[in-house]
Amino acid sequence: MIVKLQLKGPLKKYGREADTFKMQIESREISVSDLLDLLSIPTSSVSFILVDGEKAGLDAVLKGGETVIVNPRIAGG
Amino acid sequence: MTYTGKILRVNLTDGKASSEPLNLEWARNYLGGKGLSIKYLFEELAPGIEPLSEDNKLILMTGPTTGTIVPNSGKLAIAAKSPATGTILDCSIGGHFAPELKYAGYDGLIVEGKAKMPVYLLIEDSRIELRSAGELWGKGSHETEFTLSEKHGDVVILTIGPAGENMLPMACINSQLYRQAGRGGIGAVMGSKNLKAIAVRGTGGLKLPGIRKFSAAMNKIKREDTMTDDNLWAYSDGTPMIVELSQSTGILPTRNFQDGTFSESENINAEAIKKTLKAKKACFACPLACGNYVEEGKTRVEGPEYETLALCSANCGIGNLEAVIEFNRLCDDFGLDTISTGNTTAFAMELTEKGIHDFGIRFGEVEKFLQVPALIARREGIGADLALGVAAVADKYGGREFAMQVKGLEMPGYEPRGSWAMGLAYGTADRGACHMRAWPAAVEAFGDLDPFTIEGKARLVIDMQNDNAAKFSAIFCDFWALSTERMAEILSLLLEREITPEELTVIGERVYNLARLFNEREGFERKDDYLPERIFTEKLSTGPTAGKLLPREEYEKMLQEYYQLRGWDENGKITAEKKKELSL
Repeated sequence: MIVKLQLKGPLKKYGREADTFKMQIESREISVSDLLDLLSIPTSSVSFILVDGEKAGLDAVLKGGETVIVNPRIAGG
Repeated sequence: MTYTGKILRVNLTDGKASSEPLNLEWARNYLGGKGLSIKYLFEELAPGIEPLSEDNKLILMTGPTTGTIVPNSGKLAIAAKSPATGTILDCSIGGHFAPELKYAGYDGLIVEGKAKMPVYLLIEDSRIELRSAGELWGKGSHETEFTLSEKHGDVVILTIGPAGENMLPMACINSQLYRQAGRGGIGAVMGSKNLKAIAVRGTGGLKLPGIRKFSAAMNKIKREDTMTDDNLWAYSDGTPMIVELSQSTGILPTRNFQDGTFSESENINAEAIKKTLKAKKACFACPLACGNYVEEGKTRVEGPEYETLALCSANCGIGNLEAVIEFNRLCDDFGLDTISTGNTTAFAMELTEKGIHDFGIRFGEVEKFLQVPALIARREGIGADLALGVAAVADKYGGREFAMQVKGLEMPGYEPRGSWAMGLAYGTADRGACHMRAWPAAVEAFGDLDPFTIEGKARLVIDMQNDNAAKFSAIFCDFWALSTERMAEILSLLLEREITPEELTVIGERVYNLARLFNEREGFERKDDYLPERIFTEKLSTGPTAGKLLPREEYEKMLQEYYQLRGWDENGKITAEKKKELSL
């Protein structure tokens, strides 16, 4: 399966330093949590995740073809 | 200890300057920055004074971290009674003024009285002078800074523009061209005193206890706790990153808070800003460098920050980035707070579109939008009305239910219908609708907490308000997500006594309560802790927050729980027990 990824801000270093990239995963489905593990992104560094534009929890399951946006934690405002 | 132990007091009425000892008991109980400036104001201002009279005082305060290599310690607190709201007002400004004042030998500066003619204050170590600002009066803040820099060389300057001179409730204080103490009309207090600028140069230093140990500790903290995933968004993107977060969660104020998503948000998000980026800029002692110097068309500016993008772009229906950058530059030069200016402009647009009053400007009208800052700053044309701010415009023409303010301060860039604790944070912020007292959007809309429940939200907001009050007193920038434990560790090294996280929490609570007590003394009570009617009764219509509002009964429950947990009575007044507990 293939998912399209956008890792925002400082999380970009866990990907391919590109704004958007596609990732081939050797599985028929994968949870968001396992996807973060695969990318070595600590969940403590993540504020929230969007799957096809909607907020998704760590247990959400991806089946391929989704766009996943991973946002960093931020302080201040 | 890293206090200099001295406060500089300048009386503009008689032109006298004097140095006096810092009240060390107050410093122990309120640290510095926000807390100490509020304490001085509370003790020195008579209740009920007119904010634009010579009875008001302008207090500039550094903190125990100022001037050291502690990361993100470059902020200065500036406080006065607010001309916009009549509440306590403390603002925070970055740049390099705070360390320079400390190197000149002062923890703080108290400006009182009123000069007969326009003046600027020049501080060069212990040499204090008031000089004529006759030729600067009427000039923009940028030209004022260039002129004074040319004349005095290596000074750091705070200045007002025409908005401050004309004593507008949305006038800010500028420094280093693009940094602002923005809110509540702090610039109008300077203007009311005929004080155009303050320039400071300090050639002294600070004695740090055990410099080698301290330096090693700070380098370790910087490496392990500052330059980390939690904070580096400030460098990689800066606050424009929040545009996409707000848009994707439906809390980006759009067309005067009529909606929570903006159809042209891609024109103004972090990726769009990066295409115009020329350089990054940092405040003193900051490794994060959140400032973005951008250039688009003929305009250069440091910014635009998220709040400007939210209030002056989405909220005014302006999707043209070049226009927003130019609007930002104009506001900085005229000395206008972009939050209040954008919010008030959007209100005028809605009043016009609804046929309530014709200001001749509608959402998305770029050319007219770009004329607004000059008109407001000079009180000309529609600016004569808009310069009053949203609450006063509503009083004059109607539309109170969608005048987006609390206590008279215009609401910043987070839609409370999509982040209910944010509503409580606005309602209970000491200076009116403010996102810097507590920012629960970070854990609701942008985090794991359900944004549409009230469970645990009162506690959340209180904890954030207390933590931030301690943080802004210490004084740290809010972009560093540092824990109270880390704060305590740093302060213990600086002040050479053990400071615990628990003590800092109490200090934060004391500061927040003292601010409330100031407001209470000015007549503020429960009825002033409410949000505009729109938030309670109008549903949002697009994006993830479509159909959402913040039901009034839920807000009432949240507010009641907040008062109980704070130890305040049903009317929001601090109980005698709580005052005693906090030594107020």
